[in-house]
Amino acid sequence: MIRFENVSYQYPFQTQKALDSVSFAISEGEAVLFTGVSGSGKSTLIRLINGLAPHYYHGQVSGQVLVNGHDNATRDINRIADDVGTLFQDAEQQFFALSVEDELAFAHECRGVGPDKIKKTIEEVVDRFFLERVVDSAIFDLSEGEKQKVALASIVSLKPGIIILDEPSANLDPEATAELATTLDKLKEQGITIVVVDHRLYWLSGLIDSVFVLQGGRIVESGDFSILENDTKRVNHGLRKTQIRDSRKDLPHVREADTTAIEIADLTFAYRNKRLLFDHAYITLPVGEVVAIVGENGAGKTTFARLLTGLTRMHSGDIRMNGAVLKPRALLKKGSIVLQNTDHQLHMKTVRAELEIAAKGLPESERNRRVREIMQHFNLDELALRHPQSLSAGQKQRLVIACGMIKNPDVLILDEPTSGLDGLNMKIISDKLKQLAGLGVCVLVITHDLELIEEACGYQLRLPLNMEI
Amino acid sequence: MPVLSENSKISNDPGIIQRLDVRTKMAICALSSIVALFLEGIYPLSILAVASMVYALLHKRLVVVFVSYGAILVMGLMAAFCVKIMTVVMPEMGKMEIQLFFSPFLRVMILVNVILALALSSRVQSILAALKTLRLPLVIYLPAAVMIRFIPSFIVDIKQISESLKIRGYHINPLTITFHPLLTMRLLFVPIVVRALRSSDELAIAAELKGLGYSEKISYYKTTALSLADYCAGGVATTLLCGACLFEYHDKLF
Amino acid sequence: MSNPVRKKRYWQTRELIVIGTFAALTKVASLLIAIAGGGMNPVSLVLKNIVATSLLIVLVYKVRKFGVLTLYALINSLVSLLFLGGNVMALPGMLIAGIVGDGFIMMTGGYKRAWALVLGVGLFDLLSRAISLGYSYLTVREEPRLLIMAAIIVAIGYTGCLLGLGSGLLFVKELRHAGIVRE
Repeated sequence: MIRFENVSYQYPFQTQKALDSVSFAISEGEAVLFTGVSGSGKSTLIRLINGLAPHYYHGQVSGQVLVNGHDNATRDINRIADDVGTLFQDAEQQFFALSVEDELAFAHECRGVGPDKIKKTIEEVVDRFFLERVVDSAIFDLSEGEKQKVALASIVSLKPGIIILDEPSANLDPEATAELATTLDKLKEQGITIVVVDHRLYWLSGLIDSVFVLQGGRIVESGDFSILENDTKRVNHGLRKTQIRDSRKDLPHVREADTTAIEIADLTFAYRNKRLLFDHAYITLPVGEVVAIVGENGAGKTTFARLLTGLTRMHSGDIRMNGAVLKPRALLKKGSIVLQNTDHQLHMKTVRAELEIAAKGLPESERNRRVREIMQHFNLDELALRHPQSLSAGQKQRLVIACGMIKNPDVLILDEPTSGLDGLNMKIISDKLKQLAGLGVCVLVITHDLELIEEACGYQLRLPLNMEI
Repeated sequence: MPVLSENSKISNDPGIIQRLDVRTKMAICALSSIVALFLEGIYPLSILAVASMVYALLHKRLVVVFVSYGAILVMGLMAAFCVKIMTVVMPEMGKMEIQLFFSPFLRVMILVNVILALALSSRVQSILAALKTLRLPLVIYLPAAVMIRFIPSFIVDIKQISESLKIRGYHINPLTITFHPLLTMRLLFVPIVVRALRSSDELAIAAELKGLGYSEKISYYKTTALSLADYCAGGVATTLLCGACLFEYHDKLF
Repeated sequence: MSNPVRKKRYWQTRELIVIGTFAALTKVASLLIAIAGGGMNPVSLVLKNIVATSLLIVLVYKVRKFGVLTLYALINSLVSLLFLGGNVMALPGMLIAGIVGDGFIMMTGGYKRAWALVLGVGLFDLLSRAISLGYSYLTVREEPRLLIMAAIIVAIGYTGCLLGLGSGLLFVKELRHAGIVRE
């Protein structure tokens, strides 16, 4: 179905090859995984399969890429698209419309398909992907798992023989990830060839037939899924684990902690015309250990972070830090949140300027000292003059955490800090969080990443509060 | 404006205006604007102003309509105040005669009413359907659909960026905008421009990979035909507009 | 037998998407600055126009093709008309401004010359405002002095546009430095 014959590829304006002399073959109905650290050439490889490279990104290709028997060099992207469908990490970024039904219809409308045929196709995919409940919903009202299902349904409705999934589990919680695995398994049973590129590996063991590990643009390992179970190889290639214990089941609850840095009493809050998220709740948060805030979508994880940092006002309640009650304004000074989207938090021309503006409340000499210290602590020295938006995902994440830390907050909250990061970067972030917690900062992590929870977290706060495992 | 939000609600029981097809509302809007521009007489303009006010009020969102009227009144008063100052400072500019304000005021009223009726009865989710009914070519339909799709996303993005700045101790408000305009612009807009460029790239790639934009023709799923209500509204509007023109020009015509 | 690469359409899908994205961003940014700055604040009036023009400069750098300003103006006016309270009478004016702006860029060296792009956008901004003022004149022709305030506001706004031409170029330079804009 897919054959690479000694393929090399170089992007425009780049001096090094992104892919170097790669050869492999994938049969019809096979499920294949490409993995490797960031920058190893995985994305380039799938761009060569779906034709984005070189038709969209330009650049130089040598060798031959054959998809369904046709040479990609001789076909336009839209012709290759008849054979290959691609689903990216952030499903919402692929949507053209604001409602599910409009989205499912859009690609067919633009291809000039008649309304009756579109109706039939939509009915088919709605049925196949169990979308009846959401077909009339607005895209923004869907959970990440539902968005991905809609995006996948939209692609499958175009009837490609190959489906490529780029980091499909990065934004999903473990339950939605398991559902995705089941969906892909069914598609595979129907004879569709599945190509997955992902850093998270644990959910793929039952699905994948062949694995290719990339490094520096070359395939360095290949075989069945068991080759990833060798820990030495896995660590050497910067990969994540293939088996993860769901530590949410046995991680102690924050109330079991011996030390208490923050005490929240009588917390009551609800959004307008919505049910109470917190009803006279009492929560204590410890120091010295990273706390995982877990729970389903809509359980109030982000709301809790907003209440704790004063971004949203409580209906009632007191927050005490080391015994003293704090007002919302003081909370904003004492706490810091690192949001999920790093791009939204990078504003300046250089990494150093970014840290300086984050420390703007400090006197100049103190500020310069803090910037120096924090750059060293987060290994950002060499990147001081780089444009923040030009950094890799792992480097950006380190920078935004450094910005969050520069004012020495008592509470640091991070929203999904490791989604989309490879094993190497996940380990770096997890070590930093543990270090910060060790320094006496109350570190809270809102995350679905089971590996991060297992690596870094000592306690959990499960929301809603009355829901215990 | 509430219609900007994806969560903006319109009454569950759609009023007369909500039931009208967007083509009808656009036609009424365009014709009324053109006719109001040509008319000069107080009476024909008054008839149209009252009729258009009823048309806007049928929307049942009285607060939004009256807030808009209030804003226009404030702007009008400020403009009149400017004129007053000019006539005092420069008497050679002539006197301020209040009756000269009537026709401009009525024209603006007509224009605002028909625009409100069109804009306030449209939800962002249903705008795509409205665009479909216009049967536009792909070259207009695709960017317009993308624009509509991104308006709610960008509002959310800007809110998030503004909050991330608040966390860092920088508040976006009239004071910071006035005293630190360049820093505000950088802090707020570097992330959003980067986001826009990345989003458009990602969406373009998704489009290419779905084979969009290569078909010779575009089809429209679920478009609506004009209903009896549309023909009635169109008929009433045309009669009123013709009547107003007849009122103004009957001396010249007959 | 594989299908050969087909003849390209004048407008590529990606270009249409960039135009739609920037039209949305310009609209949202202008609206939010106006709200955040508080109604008639002249600084927010200038800032709003700086941002809008800067974004337009980034757009013409990304989509260097005859018709980009015209299509942008058309999409912007159409969507504004449909649900943002835009004026139907502004549509022809914006279209004319777009066509003249595009024509000017073509005649003064084409879309590869930075200064032609800047002047073209400047002309587009000027014309669209002038046409809109002309329309306002027709609306208040019995008492044209009512236009004084509008003219002052437009003049303040256009100062922002002129500043936006420079800041737009700086933006493009920075985006190149960040590796986000490559052309």
